[in-house]
Amino acid sequence: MLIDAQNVHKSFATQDGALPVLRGVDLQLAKGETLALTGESGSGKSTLLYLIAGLDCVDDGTISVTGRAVHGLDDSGRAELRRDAVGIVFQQFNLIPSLTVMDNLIFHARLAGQEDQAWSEELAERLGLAEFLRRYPEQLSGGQQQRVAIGRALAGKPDVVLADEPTGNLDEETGEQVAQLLLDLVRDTGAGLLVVTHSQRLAERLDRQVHLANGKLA
Amino acid sequence: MRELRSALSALLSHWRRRPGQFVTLVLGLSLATALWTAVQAINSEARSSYDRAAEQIGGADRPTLEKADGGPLSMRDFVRLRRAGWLVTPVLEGRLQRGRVILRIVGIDALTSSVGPLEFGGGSAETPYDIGDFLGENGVALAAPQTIAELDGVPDLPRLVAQADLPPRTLTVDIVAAQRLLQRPSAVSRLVLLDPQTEAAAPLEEVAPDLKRVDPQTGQDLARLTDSFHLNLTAFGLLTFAVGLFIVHGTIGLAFEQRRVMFRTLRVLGVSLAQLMTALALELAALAILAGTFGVLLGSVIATLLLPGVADTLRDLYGAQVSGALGWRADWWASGIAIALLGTAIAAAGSLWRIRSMPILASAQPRAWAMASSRTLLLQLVCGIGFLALAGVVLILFSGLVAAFIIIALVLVGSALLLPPFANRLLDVGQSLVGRFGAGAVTQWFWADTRQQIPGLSLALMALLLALAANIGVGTMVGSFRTTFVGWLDQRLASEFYVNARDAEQGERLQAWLKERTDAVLPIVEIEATLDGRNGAIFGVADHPTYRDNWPLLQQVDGVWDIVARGEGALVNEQFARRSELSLGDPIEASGLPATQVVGIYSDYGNPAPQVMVGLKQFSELFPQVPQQRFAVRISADRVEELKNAVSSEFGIEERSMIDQAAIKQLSLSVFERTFRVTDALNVLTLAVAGFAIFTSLLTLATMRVPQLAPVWALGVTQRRLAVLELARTALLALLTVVLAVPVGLVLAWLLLAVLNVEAFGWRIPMQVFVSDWLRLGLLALLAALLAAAIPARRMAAMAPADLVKVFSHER
Repeated sequence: MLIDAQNVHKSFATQDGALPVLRGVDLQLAKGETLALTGESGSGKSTLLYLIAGLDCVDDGTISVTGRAVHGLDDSGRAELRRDAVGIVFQQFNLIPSLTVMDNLIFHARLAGQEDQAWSEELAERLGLAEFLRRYPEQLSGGQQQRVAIGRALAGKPDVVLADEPTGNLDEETGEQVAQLLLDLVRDTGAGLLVVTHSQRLAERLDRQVHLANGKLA
Repeated sequence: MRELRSALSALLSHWRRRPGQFVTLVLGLSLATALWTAVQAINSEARSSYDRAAEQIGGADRPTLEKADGGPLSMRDFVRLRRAGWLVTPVLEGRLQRGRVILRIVGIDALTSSVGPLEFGGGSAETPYDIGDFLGENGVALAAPQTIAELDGVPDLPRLVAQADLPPRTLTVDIVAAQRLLQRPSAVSRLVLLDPQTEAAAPLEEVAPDLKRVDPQTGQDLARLTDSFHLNLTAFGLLTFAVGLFIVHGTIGLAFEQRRVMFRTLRVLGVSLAQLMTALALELAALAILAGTFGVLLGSVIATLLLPGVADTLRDLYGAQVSGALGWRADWWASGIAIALLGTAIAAAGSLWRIRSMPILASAQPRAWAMASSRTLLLQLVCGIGFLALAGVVLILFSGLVAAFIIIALVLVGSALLLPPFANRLLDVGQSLVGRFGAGAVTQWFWADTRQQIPGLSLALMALLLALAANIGVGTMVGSFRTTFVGWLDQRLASEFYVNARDAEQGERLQAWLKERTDAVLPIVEIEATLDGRNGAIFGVADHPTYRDNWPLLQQVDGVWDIVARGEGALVNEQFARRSELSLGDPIEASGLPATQVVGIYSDYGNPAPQVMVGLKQFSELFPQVPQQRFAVRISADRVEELKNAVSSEFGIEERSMIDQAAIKQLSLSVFERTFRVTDALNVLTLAVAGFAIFTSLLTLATMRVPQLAPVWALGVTQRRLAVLELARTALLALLTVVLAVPVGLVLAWLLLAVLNVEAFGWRIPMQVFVSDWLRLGLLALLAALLAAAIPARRMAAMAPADLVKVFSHER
């Protein structure tokens, strides 16, 4: 299993006390599998994705990614996991504004020591970014920025790609194109893909979908 | 390592994209470091000169023998002791004026002196010499190469031979040559005891019961005497450094806020918090070293420009000879880089702490820059009041120079902290008033928005307040000093003409000659003396209405001049009275002076050394060996020139030995002005740094103003009007700062005059206010702020509507 989450609990402190968001979630993702995680706003989809990425810590339960127990890792260990095994795509793109498109594209792979010049060039070509490589993110449209973010997530050939509403900030047509590119590239690399999305159309294009409601998978 | 390198390259890419911000940061830190370094370089150079002087052959750091009754030593004493087996060597020291140059003459006996680093022999290939050339009345003088260069063309000097490591403006000659140059035949300043002494010699009490052994007084050395001056410079350096830090703090804070997205992304992509913090620390250290290097270079240029003035001031005030040329020293280089690193660390500490405690999933949107809550304002208010209260406590409980500087620092920091809450409150009142009088919507928005800008501009405004207060404070001090000094000079220099005879015999003839041709001839006689353990002088004063009517007495007993004339009491200068806590009626401790009491205290500005004045008759009885060679002459002003010519043709006295009242006042005032030239220069530089702080703050804030102004524009206010309002807002805030800086400046002036000057120099000057100076300074500050605001305002007026619309489409 690429991802194996067992009985995951997570709550957040509010003025009215602890607010439980996840109440014993179990989730698995196999190698090469694509999985959509859907649910209402505030259902805890993004929280679960962040827990799997090691961006936050579980209150209870276990999560392992590529066999590594995320819940047992310290900050450095979780950073190493994200660096070496996980590619992440956000709704807000989160590119580094002071780096060029090319530098952003290869940044994660370089960080992981897995830079592959030929693969980076192929990614740039397939993502339609070849002519924008010397530009800066602010000079690109939203769709183009998200393609850079997808390229960055895949440049290091990670075992698993986590995407949080990757088309949420894009218009329908651009969203379609970006989603297709993401799916094609993930399949070509053989990575697993977990996508948090509101879009039923995107969810239906994936191998499997699970729905999160009231803190549990339906 | 790989992760660190990648993170560092991403962090540094920010500066590539924002070169203006990079320049601001480096320039801010460089400016802050520069003045600090300049002050360190000047102090270092001066101290090195003092050290060289102390190491010198004068033997000031060795025990000496003096007359028990304070009388003068002579070569006879030296011969007497040597014959009795005592290993002593004579030294004669004095000052010699040649043209505009004042030289320190150190006369030694080369055959008995084993003190100091002199080399008798060698010289250059062109000017070889040996000890034989050094000996005798016409022997060579040893001097530092820079002194020899300075003395090029100066007449009436012995042949000069260069020797490194000698103090500046000092000639070392054979004691016989010194006696000739100083016109003090057979005189000896001190007999230095050599080490070790022969055991066979008879005890001093038997050989010379009239002599006593005096251990070196370390408290009297130049370094100690000039400490207050150097502390003053250091305080100015620190003040400017603090003002510069406001710039650095603002720029680093902004750079961190702008990179919050980057920090989050880096961490999401696998850079651990420890790696991120290390990368940030490395980035800051590299910036600090770069800026520190620039700062040190800039500082050395400033020091090179200021050093000649400082050297003149130290010579005029303390008689300290300091080289006017700057040498490169590792200590102030290291100090400059270290202060840049320390400053960066202080300025970045808060930002680094915020990054460290920022959750990885925290909103990556830059928060409203430095948005201060009412809690922050309250904290500033409490801290500000606390600092001022602490200053009051230190003022009451402690004394001394360091305490005086601590009080000044606490007052300045406390006042700066009070500025944002005060300005906030004043704008609040303004907002209420315009609301009450039914002002339009734009006016109401203007006041509310101005209030909202205080947090973002508070650092720059605090820097401006510090610089303005320092300017007002130092300006008031110098102005008060100048006014008092001019009035004091009028009193002190009441005589119309002053003349120096070549020797005692000529003095006698000159006095008789002048008496027949002028209204009065008043001899000026003095002798060096130890006054309550400090080096000072005893003067003899003639019994004449010139002194009775004009002498600037601060306190006196009834019939003071009659008492002095009868030799029943003495006058002391203010600094002697303050340092030795002397009041009227107190006895005076002075070598060579019989028990006498204080009957008057006079002001004596520009001189840190203690003085005593006794009647001329008593002086002549006590010190018969001191000839009457200098005279103040009373004569109607229109006859001065004629008299000068007559003295010149009758006695052959050179022009430089005669001076009229106007010329001596001019000379004294020029010394005064020179003393404060360095202070003025540092003042201007501090103000310039503060102006730069305002400029950079407004520029950086301007980039964040668009989202705040776009909605108002969308509601129907033209871009042009918004730009004008931006200018008005800046003017209002600058004006507020100027108004608040005036009371702070006056408090600072009072502290400088009533606390620091008294501690440093021993005199107190009445404070006077110069309103026109404040107005000029206020206008200057206003102009600087408006200039700084002009660029962002112009940009606002010219911004394309498409850029303003972006605010609403969330594409910014």
